[in-house]
Formats: sequence, structure tokens, C-alpha cells
Amino acid sequence: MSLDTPTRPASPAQLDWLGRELTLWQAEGLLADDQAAAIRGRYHASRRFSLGRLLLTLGALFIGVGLIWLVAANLDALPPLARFLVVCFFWLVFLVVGELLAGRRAEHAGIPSPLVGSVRLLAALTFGAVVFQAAQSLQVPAYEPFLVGIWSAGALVHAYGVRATAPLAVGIVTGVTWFVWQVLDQEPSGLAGVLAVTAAAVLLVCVGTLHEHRLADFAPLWRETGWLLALGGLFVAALPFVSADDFAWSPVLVVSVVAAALALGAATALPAGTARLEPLGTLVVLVASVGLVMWEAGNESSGPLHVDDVAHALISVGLYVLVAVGVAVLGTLRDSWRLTALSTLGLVVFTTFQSFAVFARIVEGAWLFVILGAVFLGTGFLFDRARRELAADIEGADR
Amino acid sequence: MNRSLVTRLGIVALVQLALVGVAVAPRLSAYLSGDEYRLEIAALDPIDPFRGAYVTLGYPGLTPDRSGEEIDVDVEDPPPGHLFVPLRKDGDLWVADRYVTDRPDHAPYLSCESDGWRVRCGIESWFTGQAEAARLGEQLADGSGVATVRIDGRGHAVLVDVDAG
Repeated sequence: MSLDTPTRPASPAQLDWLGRELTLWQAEGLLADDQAAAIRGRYHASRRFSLGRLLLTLGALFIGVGLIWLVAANLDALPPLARFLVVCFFWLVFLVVGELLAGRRAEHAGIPSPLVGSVRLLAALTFGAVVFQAAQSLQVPAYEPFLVGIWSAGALVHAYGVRATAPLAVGIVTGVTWFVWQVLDQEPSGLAGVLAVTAAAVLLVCVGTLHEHRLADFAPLWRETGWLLALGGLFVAALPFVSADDFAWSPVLVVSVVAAALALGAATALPAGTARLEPLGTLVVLVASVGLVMWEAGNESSGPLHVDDVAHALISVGLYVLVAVGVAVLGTLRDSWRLTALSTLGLVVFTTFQSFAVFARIVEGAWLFVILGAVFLGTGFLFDRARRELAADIEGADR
Repeated sequence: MNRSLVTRLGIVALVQLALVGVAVAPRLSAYLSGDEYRLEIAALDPIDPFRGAYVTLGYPGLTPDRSGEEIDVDVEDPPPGHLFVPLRKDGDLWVADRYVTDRPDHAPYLSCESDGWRVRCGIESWFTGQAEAARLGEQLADGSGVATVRIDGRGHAVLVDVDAG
């Protein structure tokens, strides 16, 4: 890059750090004064950068939700066909303007534009409004999960068609919503829900892994949503009252398990080294979750506590800590604060919930808090040790 | 805007529009090519978070509990999966006597999905303004009304009018 490149935005904290390091390097004779000045000159402080992004994203979300809400308001003033055409008009405008802006931005590569992302987000949300308005105009019966599935498919087509992450986020969120809703709509059983969520986790993480080499920008969204589902699925599986009662294979569930198996095959066959461990980790979560649900101990949420119930709770906690440590290691390896935060939050909520669900039946009040505190301290200590050692080992192995 | 971008955007928009078509295909087909039939209805009134106020319609005339001898399957417990409801003219309205699992030879009939206890034929919700939905719900709770539906040759149905009588 030449010196006349436009300056890049950096947060004041980053500039402070850079300034201190540059002074050190100058003092050690690594850098000449003019070189240090040239490096400093390439950045400008920007606080509004992240604030602007936040406001633009919030604005797009509010307008998108507002448009869907307008559909729900069922404006009597306009006939159904006119309402559909108005919503279509907004969708097409956002779709085209998003790409026009992206085209202009491409000329200034290096400076990311949150505006492009927010208009694309708006287009993906407005597509949902188009689907719902079409359904409303034609009196499609209420509470139809298929419509959310169609919204998801459209958003994914948009995301892959123009290579954009904002519609991808909409597509993944609506896709997961559709899938869980569809499975529970057809077979409302605990095991079906847990199997659906963990199979979806396997599928999403595998798709994320496959994206590492192609469309790497898409990988984190798939992967992180996958781990969110994995932790959620294991959480539900460990709940004392979730059981395998009324379980049956619905067509959606069969298709999803087959899709997860195929994705797992592809994701473990293609990448080399430790990258293939991540998809296998989700498989472990799936097997562990199903095992916990099938194990009938702990199903009674009231009545006297048996040895089996305590064993069920302790093994659940142990498994959850292991998976949370794994996710935290991934967060460290991939420099993703979201994964680290996710694993910490999952662990805290899980431990608290399990302590209250199981141990609250034998100890009361103050003692429960003391025990909970001890459980936190213990798991926290093990968690941090394991995370650091594992991360160091894996990094060493990769070199 | 260069040509490849226009092409790509055009493809995205067309695929998305096609998906909207898939979402409403049975209703759209009935709306465009179906004939009109009048059915008796009863109601209650909730809200769909994405699409607003609507009236849930029940069809007393389509529940085959009146003539035991013609019923193919257990009335109390319709088989889960795809089934059909043949219609018969009864005075001014159309009624059904039975559910069948094979597609009938003659129209009109309804093509429906059953989850084992409830049969859904795609005409269970009438979306309308909030005030109108509340008014219809109240009127229908007091007595019965009449729905006009369009049904195409494949049994796809769409609601086109609701009259609380």
C-alpha cells in the first residue's frame, strides 16, 4: 500500500496502544522517527464508527419489523392486492439500493460501510413482509411455520446471490425458527425438540467449517449460531422433566438428521488438522443430549430425590462444563469474543438452573447459595485451567 | 450498475418472488381457477403475530358426524396425513359426509391435512381489520354464518368472503 492511501479508522484505545508501542520501538532503535510518524499518519481516531453501525443496524431492524407490523395491522384502507404491491415496492427498492451502495463502496475498498449492511438487512426483512402480505391477502391459515421457512429460503438466496452477511443473519435466524417450530408442530415431544436442535447445531457448524475455504465471511455466523443451538440443546436435554415420551419420527426430523449426517461427512472429510474436531464436537453434543433424554433417571421433578437423580444432574453438569470449555477454547482460537461470552453465559445459567432444580430439594435457603457458590468457584477454576491448557496445546499442534 | 450485477439481482429477485408463489400456491390456484361454494361456519377470534387479527373459522357442515353409514374412517379420529373431503349440495349450502384417503373422481372436494384429531383444509383463518375481526367473532359466537370459498379442480380452497348472517 502506498502512503497516499486514505487513513483508516481506529478506536482511541487502539491508537493509544499503537502510540505506546511505536515509542518503545523508536527507543529500541527498531524504527526511525519518520517511519513511526508515517505509521501514525495512516490511522484516524473514530468513536462514531461503532455507534454509527449500531444506529444503522437498529434503524434497519426497526423499519423492517415496522413493515411486518404494518402487514399485521391489516390496513383496511388499501385492498389486499394494493397492500401486496406496496410491500413489494419497498422490498425491491431496498434490494436494488443495497447493491448500488455496495457497488459504490467497492471503489473505496478497505473502509467497511455499515450503511450497505443495514440496507441489505432491510431488504431481507422486507422480503418477510412480502411473504406475510401475500399469505394474508390470500387468507392462508394462521400460525403456518412454512411461511417463516419461505422467508428464510428467500433471505439465504439473497445472501448467497450478493455475498452479504446481513441477509445471511436473517436467513439463519428465520431458518432455525422455522425448523424448530415445524418439528414441534408435527411431533411435540421433548426428545424430538432436543434431537432437532442438536441436529441443526451439527448442520450449522459443519456448514461454517466448509465455509472456511470459500466465503470465509459467512463462516462465523453459521458456526456461532450452531454452537448456540448446541449449548441450548444440551441445556434442554439436561432438564429433569424432558423425556422421550410421545416421540415419533416426523419427515422433517428424518430429513434434518440425514442432512446433518451428510454435512458432517463433508466437514470431516475436507478440512485438515484440528478444523475437523469442531464438527465432531457437535456430534458429541448430539449423542450426549439424546443420551441424557433417554436416561429416565431425573424425570421426576417432584417427590423424593433418588441417587439416580443426583447422578443424572452431576453427569449433566459434567457434560455441560466439558462442552462449554470446548466452546471457550474455540472462542480463544478463533478470536471470537462472542463464542467465549456464549460459553460463559451458558455455563452460569446452566449451573444455576441445575442447582435449583436438583439440589434445592435437599438443601434450603442459605445453604443452597453456599453450595451454588462452591459449584461456581469449582467449575470456574477447572473451566479456566482447561481452556488455557487446551488452547495452548491445540495452537502448539497446529504449528 | 454493471450488467453482471443487474443479472445477479434479477435472479435473486425472481427466485424470491417464486418462493412467495410457492408459499401461497394452493390458495393462489384456488383463487384464480376455482368455483365458489358456500359453507356454514362458526368462530372465535385471536391474533397472529406476523399477520394481525383474524377469525378462526370452524365448519360444522364439514364434520362428518351426521350419517354414520357412509363414513370410511373413524370420525372421532381422522387418520394423520393427507385426506379428502367430498362435498354434497344441501339446500343453499355445501356439506360433507365423510373423509376419504383416496382422491375422489368428481369435484367438488377439499384437499386437507390431518394431524390425527384436527383436519385443516387451508380455509380456517379469515384475516381482517382488528375491529371487523372482533365484530365478526362476536356475531359468529352468537349464531352461525356462511363462508364463500373458491375450490379448484385439485381440491385447493381459498376463503373469499365471510358473512355473519
